[in-house]
Amino acid sequence: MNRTPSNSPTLKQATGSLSFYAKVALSLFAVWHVLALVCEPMRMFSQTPVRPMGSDVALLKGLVGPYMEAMYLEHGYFFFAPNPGPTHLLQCEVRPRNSEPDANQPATATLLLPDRKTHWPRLDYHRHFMLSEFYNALFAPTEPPPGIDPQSVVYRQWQDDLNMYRTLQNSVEQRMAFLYPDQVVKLTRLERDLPNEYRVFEEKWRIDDPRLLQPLNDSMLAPTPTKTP
Amino acid sequence: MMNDLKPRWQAAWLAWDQFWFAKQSQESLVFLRICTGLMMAYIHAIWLHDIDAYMGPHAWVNRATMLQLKDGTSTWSYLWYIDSIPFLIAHELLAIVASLAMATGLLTRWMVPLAWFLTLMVCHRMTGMLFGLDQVVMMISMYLMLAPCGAMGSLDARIRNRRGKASWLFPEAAPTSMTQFATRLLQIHLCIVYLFGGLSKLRGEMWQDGSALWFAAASYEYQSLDLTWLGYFPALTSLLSHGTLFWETFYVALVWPRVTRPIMIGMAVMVHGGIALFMGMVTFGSMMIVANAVFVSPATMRRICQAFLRWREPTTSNTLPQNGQDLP
Repeated sequence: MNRTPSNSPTLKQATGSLSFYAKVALSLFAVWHVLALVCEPMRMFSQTPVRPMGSDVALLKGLVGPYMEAMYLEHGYFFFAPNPGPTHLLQCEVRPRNSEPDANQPATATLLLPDRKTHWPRLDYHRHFMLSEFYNALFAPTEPPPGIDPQSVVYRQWQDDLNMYRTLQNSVEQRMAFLYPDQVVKLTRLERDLPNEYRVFEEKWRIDDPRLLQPLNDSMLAPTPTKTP
Repeated sequence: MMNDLKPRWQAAWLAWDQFWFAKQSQESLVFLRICTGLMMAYIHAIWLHDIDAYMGPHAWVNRATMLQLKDGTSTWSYLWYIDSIPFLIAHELLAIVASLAMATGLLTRWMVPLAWFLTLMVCHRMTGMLFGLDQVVMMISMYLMLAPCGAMGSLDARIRNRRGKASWLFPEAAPTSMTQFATRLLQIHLCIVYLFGGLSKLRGEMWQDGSALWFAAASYEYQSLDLTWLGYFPALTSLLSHGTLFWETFYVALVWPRVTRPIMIGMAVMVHGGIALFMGMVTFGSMMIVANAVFVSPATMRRICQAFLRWREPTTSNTLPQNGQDLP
């Protein structure tokens, strides 16, 4: 960093390439831009189970939101936070069209997103990993939250979320139908839990142990399957 | 009273002016330009290698889904409306060419904005498959657009020298205020990334009790090299977790003083180097290290470059450029 004292005679010479008005305009832009940078992380930071964001952040988002979104600045920077959590995969199975999706007969093909063997280079693998996490993040249960008034905001929000989730589901199914014509597709979300030190060192589980991988139900009413796929 | 305030306002303006607009040389931004251009080319090459699965008519997330996802937002991309494979291939090839031109410094004033714009359009199309890597290359390239970062270490500089005169397109290798302005914005942006990365971790009990690093290491989907041996050394795991937490949270303050800056940047190299080596994100980890170079002064960057050139070609050591001249 330059440490020239503010009363240095060389200061004007050093900073003189821009006019005063250009500097004022750039200064205003810098303030605006920095406000846009902090908006999304502040929204995520101020989010609680009862409020989507603080009132001050809502005000800020109203001001800089469009600029932030258009410039691809809407990031929370919550890397591995608040805690490193379980990872989510997407299992895509196909069976002949004349068979039931849940039949016991083995699938004719299974794709796993992500899959180290097929998704290479590593950046391609990571893209598919992000897709499976995104698929899980958009998940909405097939039934509304129990005891909710169908006229309420919560109910409408659930409907919108489910609609969005189903649209993404259809998109993935269409991709599978393209890859495997005349087949029935079944999508299953999988969750891989993180083992603690005791599991790894005392019980000798590997971090890719199949017992850590569990299928997730789209219905909240159905019992969680315990059988590992 | 007013007479007392006037010198203070003047001093405040001068300090502001010095911080944002003091003339700065481009060496650090040149390094960022080369690395970011190469990484953007690689990113687009990956999109291209399976273009149908990513953006084509049979994409995992097709156009109809993307339009519904983006409904009501202020984002826009022409790639929401076009999924023709020939168009997408041409688009990605153009993005690769623009990114490589950015890296080599050919028509930099045009190519940096072009590479940024094409990548932005892809980012708005590829929601759901993006991660920190996309954020950091977009962050760096956005600020590089503001500065004449092709003034040295570039094909533009060679063209300028051959023509014997500088112009807006082929700028002189001299310190400018816009270089300082772009540098400051990127430095502040990086501080915000780390500050909120640290604050968000403060809410997690695994970061508080020091077990977070173990669980990050035990995540099979992220793992590229085995780190579970860390479990034999719980005190080390805990120290590394807490070290990461404090480093991220206080980076915003400690990266500015000259005394603590090398420590902060050294820790950034270790943390992101660890992510690159062990957690399968070599692209993201290396770009975060590159981004930290914005805190390396141009003079230091020049010395590093000169040392590298001396090491590569000892006979050229007597012909190295002086300050203000172009790098070979």
